[in-house]
Amino acid sequence: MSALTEIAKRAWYMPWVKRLCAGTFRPAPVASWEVLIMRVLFACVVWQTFPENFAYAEQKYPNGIARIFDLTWLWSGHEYSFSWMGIENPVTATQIIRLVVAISLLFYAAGFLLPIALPLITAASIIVRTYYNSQGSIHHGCQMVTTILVFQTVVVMWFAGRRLYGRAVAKPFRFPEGLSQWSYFLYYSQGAIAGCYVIAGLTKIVRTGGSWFWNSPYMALEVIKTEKQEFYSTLDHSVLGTQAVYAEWMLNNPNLARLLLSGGVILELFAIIALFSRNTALMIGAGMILFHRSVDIVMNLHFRFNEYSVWIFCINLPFWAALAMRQARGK
Amino acid sequence: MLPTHWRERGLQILIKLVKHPIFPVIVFTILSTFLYKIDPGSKGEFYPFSNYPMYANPRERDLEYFFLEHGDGTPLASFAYTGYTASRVKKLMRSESMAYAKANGLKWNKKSSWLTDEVQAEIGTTVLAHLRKRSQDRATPFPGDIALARGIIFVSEDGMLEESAATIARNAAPLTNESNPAPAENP
Repeated sequence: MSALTEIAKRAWYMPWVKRLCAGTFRPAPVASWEVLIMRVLFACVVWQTFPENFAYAEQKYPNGIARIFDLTWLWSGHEYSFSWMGIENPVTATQIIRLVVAISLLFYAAGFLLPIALPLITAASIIVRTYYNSQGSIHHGCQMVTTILVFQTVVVMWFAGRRLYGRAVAKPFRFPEGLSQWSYFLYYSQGAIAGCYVIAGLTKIVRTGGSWFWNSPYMALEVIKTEKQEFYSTLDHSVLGTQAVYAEWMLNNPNLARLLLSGGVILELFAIIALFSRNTALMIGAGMILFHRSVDIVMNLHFRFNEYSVWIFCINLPFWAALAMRQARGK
Repeated sequence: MLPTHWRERGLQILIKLVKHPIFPVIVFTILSTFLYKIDPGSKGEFYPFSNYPMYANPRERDLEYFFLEHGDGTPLASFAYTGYTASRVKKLMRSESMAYAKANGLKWNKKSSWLTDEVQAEIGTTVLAHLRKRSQDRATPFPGDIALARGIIFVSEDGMLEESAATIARNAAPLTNESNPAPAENP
């Protein structure tokens, strides 16, 4: 038995297994250049979630904060007079918000004045997307981006508060050894991403009592429905029949369909493992991209902002590229 | 009742968990998943929190979708005129049927088949009026009369995917619209 253990210990894959098992589910040290790249890329993603204008004059089906506040002032039909060098300029609320967000995103990307810039971006994101979702149909495409912003804002405000409190009681706040605000910034950005996937997985279990896995071949109906909806949105005949092949395959091969579709849900349920270490973040991230690409092909459903977020915070290519270069130089 | 040392150990584990950095992520996950129970009025959606209910309950059932038609029954590209996809039109129907159920003290059901043809037509007419207004607000008004159709996809007895569709509501063009140009539709 001990001989076998010795052989297993010396196996070629053991360093990989050890590396995979080395994690703590806690924030890890990060380089400032790494987070700078993340902020710049994520600022570009956030900017894309802000619409240029709103042709919605009312919020007939209020969602979120729209149930408390009237957000119809966002309608592009409302113009506000703005005087600049003696010239009257009519501007819409969306234009003002976009200007504030653009400036705040520059600060965000640079890493300056985050306790001011981040809450502004997050509040704008919540307000704008809430109004969009208060038109009778819920769109989940930008939810992850706003959730990441919420988590990042809490991190930045929390540490700003800790620093202020430390100064007030003459006991300066110190981060644990090797960590910085950016360690928590990255950790909770990954946490927001992982949380969103776990919620999606849990809802499937809670709603069906676990029968989702067995009934998954009936996703074929959803696939056809999505194709029909895609066609009737634009009357583009090229979309017809493209998804039907997958739907028929699911119904004709139910066990294989169960195996493949259940894999996606299991990946969602265990997405939290991304917080274990950089290695698991990479693995879960790669799995999520594969999952989204498959959904894109089979159901023609795109979640590009989710994918961008996963690439930036979980896969984090710049880090792995830098590590590979350092190791190559070391050899 | 649990032995004292078990309770103490349980409390220690709980304190450890609460202090762990992963705890806020766990709280966020649980709260969002059960948001519909915490705040029933939210129906599980309180932006940016959601329980992501899409494709959460696949089963052998009739699936419905809604699409727009011209007055003569030919399909109409909803996106070109309203910026809404057919998926959003369906969600509008759902929101409107929820409002109808609430106003009439009825128990709401996700599928519209629980509604009588007359009620479906009434809800459909409201949605069409909303879409007509939306198309006018964004300066891409519908070219004439419009109608709302309901398509149904189902698995037949021999295991094949079948579908059917029928018009459920109509909306006549206002006279002022005739002078407005129509946006180009995809062929």
